[in-house]
Formats: sequence, structure tokens, C-alpha cells
Amino acid sequence: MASISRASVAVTGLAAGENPAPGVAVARSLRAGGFRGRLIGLTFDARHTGAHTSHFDAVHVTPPPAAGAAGFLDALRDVIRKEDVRVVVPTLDPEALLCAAARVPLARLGARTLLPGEIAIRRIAKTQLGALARRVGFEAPRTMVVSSTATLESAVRELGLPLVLKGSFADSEIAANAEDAVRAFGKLGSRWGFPLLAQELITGDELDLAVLYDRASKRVGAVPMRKLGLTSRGKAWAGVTVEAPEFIRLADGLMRALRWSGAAELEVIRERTSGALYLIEVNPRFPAWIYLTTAAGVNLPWALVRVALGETVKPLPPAPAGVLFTRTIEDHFGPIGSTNGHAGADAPAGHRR
Amino acid sequence: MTRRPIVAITSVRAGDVPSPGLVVAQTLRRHRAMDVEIVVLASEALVDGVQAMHDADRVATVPSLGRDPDAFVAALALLARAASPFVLVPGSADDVRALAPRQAALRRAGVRAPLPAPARLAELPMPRAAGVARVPARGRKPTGTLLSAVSVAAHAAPGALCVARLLDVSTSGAVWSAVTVADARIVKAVERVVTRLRWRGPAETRFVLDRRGRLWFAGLTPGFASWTSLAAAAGQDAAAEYVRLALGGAARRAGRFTDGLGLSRVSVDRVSTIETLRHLVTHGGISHGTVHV
Repeated sequence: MASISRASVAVTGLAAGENPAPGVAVARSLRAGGFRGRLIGLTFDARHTGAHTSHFDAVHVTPPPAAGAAGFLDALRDVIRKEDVRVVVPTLDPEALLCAAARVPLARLGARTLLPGEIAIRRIAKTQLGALARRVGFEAPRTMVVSSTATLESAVRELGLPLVLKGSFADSEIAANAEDAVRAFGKLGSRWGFPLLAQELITGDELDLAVLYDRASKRVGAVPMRKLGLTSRGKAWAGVTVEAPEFIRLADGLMRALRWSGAAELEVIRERTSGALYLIEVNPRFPAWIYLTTAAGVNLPWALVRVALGETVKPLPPAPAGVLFTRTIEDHFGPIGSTNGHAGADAPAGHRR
Repeated sequence: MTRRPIVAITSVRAGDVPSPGLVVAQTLRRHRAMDVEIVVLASEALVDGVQAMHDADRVATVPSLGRDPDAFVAALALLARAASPFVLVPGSADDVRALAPRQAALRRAGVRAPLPAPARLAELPMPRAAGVARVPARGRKPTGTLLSAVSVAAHAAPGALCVARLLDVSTSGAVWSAVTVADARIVKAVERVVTRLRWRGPAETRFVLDRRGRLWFAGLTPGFASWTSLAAAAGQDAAAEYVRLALGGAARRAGRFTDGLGLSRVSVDRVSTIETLRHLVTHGGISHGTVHV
């Protein structure tokens, strides 16, 4: 245990503005769990404010995953060697996919991960999720792929209005009428590229589940959360832990079917009249609100690091209902041009303290 | 009756656009420049209530200043009666606009709030008497570095003043990183604007420094800037200066501030319990003395 708590752990996703990535929350959770080793932040943009805080002992800039797997993995290998990284925790979807594909070579360098297989991550793509979700007992909104105004018109006819249009990577718009749908189609297409997804609109409570599975796809812990407040971009800024045993049971079935290991976030809507759980999205990483699980006594990031390093972690107890989070800000000050208030040493490969 | 001054702050909101009120509350708590009790005035238990618990000694629910300003002032009078002295900090530009015409009612209620005269607000954001070159209303706008200054004044030169270059501003206007710029020319320009307008209270003035080095006045917004915490860290605690003036402190000239000090703002989640929210909804207030979070 002493060696685990003093290992070097690398965490990605340091954007911490109005649409924060999970990196800072993962770092806070590890410290809260008793981790006393070095925390290495990895960011593809040095302007991400999470890189300039005291939450990380060192920060390195890596190429964005969109620039290609080779560049990202080369930079990651470089950081692993320099910092003697023992565990890598990717917190962004594309990085999770790249690290999953490279987990064997990363392990050869001495850096462990706890990630699902590459195929499992591809199977939770929005275009494929519906069929899999129904097979394990979730409901799924009817979904159509739209790539032209003609297919958009078909989707409007088939799914009815209002409907949800989703970008291929992120972002969504609710279209109340046909004109809205055309406008949203153009907007999302120009931002994220085509094709888009059109989905029937399900109304009800939005529930989120943060989960962790071990290498045998056995659940280590799960914390369901009900969203209480959304930002203008639809992200939760307030939420509360709830009891949702049926949601967890279905999640277990889904993850068993996927032979999942590692972290995931599942988003469902509990339909207002039937109470049915419609699976909307699965992400191969922790959510941005992951610190709530720690505050509720179910520290999933710390459990992930321990499992990744080979420790047997007993299933964590259920989180009590009624633990509330609200998102606020924390200001950090330091001489500009520095990281964590210390001058950079080895730019451009990265900056570190 | 307590003699420890109460500083009540409006519009303490986080979400995706952190309000100046939130930053003022955090700054007063962080620096503890003066021994005051910080009370957040919340109009909704969740939106600006329970989330403010971590940045205040107490949260009290009151009618919305935006929706019913007269009911807000009446509620404030009740709170002020129980504690003196009582200072009110407007946490947004809209709050300054709503409170400025009600200064007489606030004074009668025992509430201290150094605010601009209502006539001054009518000229904003581009008052004619600014005394510096203004960004033209029509035609080509100057482009260059966006600078922001926060100041607190009492009808004269500012008693606190700090200038920063805004580095990361979201599309919704939220500032996520900034760096102080201790440039005598810009400081003088801010002083000129604030003094000429005989501005009272907090203000954010914005300038554009174009590529040829010309400085253009881009407007004045009433109230604190959302990066006021950086000013305090750089040696110009505008929030504390406001409270000092409200408590009867004499006007004084602002001192120097650190050049090149950076602000990195991160979103973080704070945790409480549904019981705290229930208490706020049912009792209208929570305090660290009575509720454990």
C-alpha cells in the first residue's frame, strides 16, 4: 500500500473552464483517498487552466489525440519514462481509446492502465448503442443516422417532433419544428462534421451513473446521481446521489456483455410516465462530477489506481442518497508563463516543475 | 445586536458564468482583510443558495432583486435591523442598476452601499465625459489587446485599482485566465475615467490597446469585475476597499499592484447534503453555526 500511495500517476483532461474535463476532479479524489505520490497532468492545450493549479506536481503538453495516435503515444511514452509513471488515467474519450489500444506497450514501460478493450469502446458508439442497450434490458430512443437534408426529412417523419439532433462527437440540439431541425442540422454539421444522429426526444429525470469494473468485469463501485441543475450547454452543475438499484443492475448486465474493465459513465433518462430507463450515452471514462463519488465515500478514482496496480479491492459500499454537489470556482495565482507557479523547464515537449 | 459588521452579497452564482458576487465572497473570505460576517443573499435555494454555503458564513433567502427590488429592500431592512453595521455588495452589474435608484431607501433601512448616482448609469457603457479616446460607435473598431480594470472609488480617484489583460474569455463572457498589467499609462487612463465621472463604488472599465500602441476606452460596466480575486492577490483588494468605504473609511489613493501575476480559474465541485438544501428551503437560511456540511 505504501508503494501504491507513492507511485507517479498521470491524469489527462485538464480543461477546467465552463465545460470542465474530469482531470482536476480525479486529482482531487486521488489526494482525498490518501495518494501521496506525484500527480502528473497531461494536457493538449497549455491554456487549460487545470494545468496551472497546485493539484498537479508536474504538467506535460501532449499532442491532441485528433492529431493522430502516433504523436500522442510517443509523447505519452516520453512522459512515462521521464516521470516514472506507474498508472495512466485517461479522462477524455479519444485518449481512452488510444490508451486502450496501446495498453500492452504502455505496460511494458511499467505504466498500467485499467481500460476496456478497444472493441468494447467502439461498441458503445452512439450509432451502435441502441441495439446493445435493448438486449440487456434498457430502453433506447429510436435513432437514425442523418447525412443529408433528405435523410433529415425522413427522420422528422419517422421520429416525429420534437427530436434531438446529435453531433458525431459531442453536442446536441433539440428541434421543436422542421425549421429548427434544418437549422440545427447545419449548425452541428459545420461544427462536428457529418453524419449526425437524430433521436426521438425522451422526457424525464436525467440520471447519471459513475462506475468502475475490475479486470474480470466485476463491479468495484457505482454511484448514481440525479442532475439538479444544467448549464446553458446542458452540463450538470448540480446533482445529488440517489438510490437506483435497477439502473445499476442493468449497467452490470451491459458491462458484462461488453467485458468491460475500468471506468465508465452511463447516462439515462427515466421516462416520466412509464419510469423506463432509456440509455442515452456511455462514456469510457469518469464523468466531470466524479468528485461527488469521493465525497459520498465511494472513491472510484483511487480504487481505479489501486486495481490498476494489481491490488485486490473489495466491492465498495453503496453511496448514501442525498449527497449534493454544486459546481463553483477555485482561483489559483502565480507568475504568468509558469506551471504551478514554477518556471517551465523542457518546453516544447512539455512543461514541468 | 452584534457589532461585527455584516457584509451581504447579492448574485453569488457559479454555473458556467461565475458572477462577480461569487468572486467577491471568495476574495473576502480568502484574504480576511477585515473581521466581517459574510452573508450571501440568495433568491433561490439551489441556484444561488446552497452552492454559496462554502463561500459565506451564512446564507439567507430574500426576494429576487431583479424581479421585485422593493421587496428585496424591505427584506434587507429586516436583516439590517438585527445587525449593525450592515454593508451591501451588489454582485452583478444588473444589481448595481437595480440598487442605485434605491439608495435613499437603503440608507433609511440602515444599509450601507457606496453606489453610483443613477444619472451616471444612464450614460453607460460609453459616457461622453470619460476624458479618453473612445472606441468609435460606428465604422472600423480598433483591434488589439483587451484590457480590463477593476476600481473602487468614492467620488474621486480610486482607492483600489488594478489592470489585467484577459487571456481566456469564454463565448458567454466568463473569464478563466488573466494576467495583471502594471502599466502607468493604463492606470492613469482608468483614474481619469473614474474621477471625471465622479464614480462612486465599484466599476470595471475596459480598454483596447491597438497594435500601434494607442489606448481606446471600450466601456464601463458598473460593479466588480469577475476577476476581482486577482486584483486582491496582486495587492489591490477592491472588495475590502469597498467594505472599508461603506463603513466610513476616508477616501485614499490606490497603491501599486504586482505586474505579471496570473489567474487560473478552475471549475470544482463542492459537496453538501440534501439536508442543507432542505433547511434552506424550509427555514430561509443556513449558517455554519447551525448546519453541519
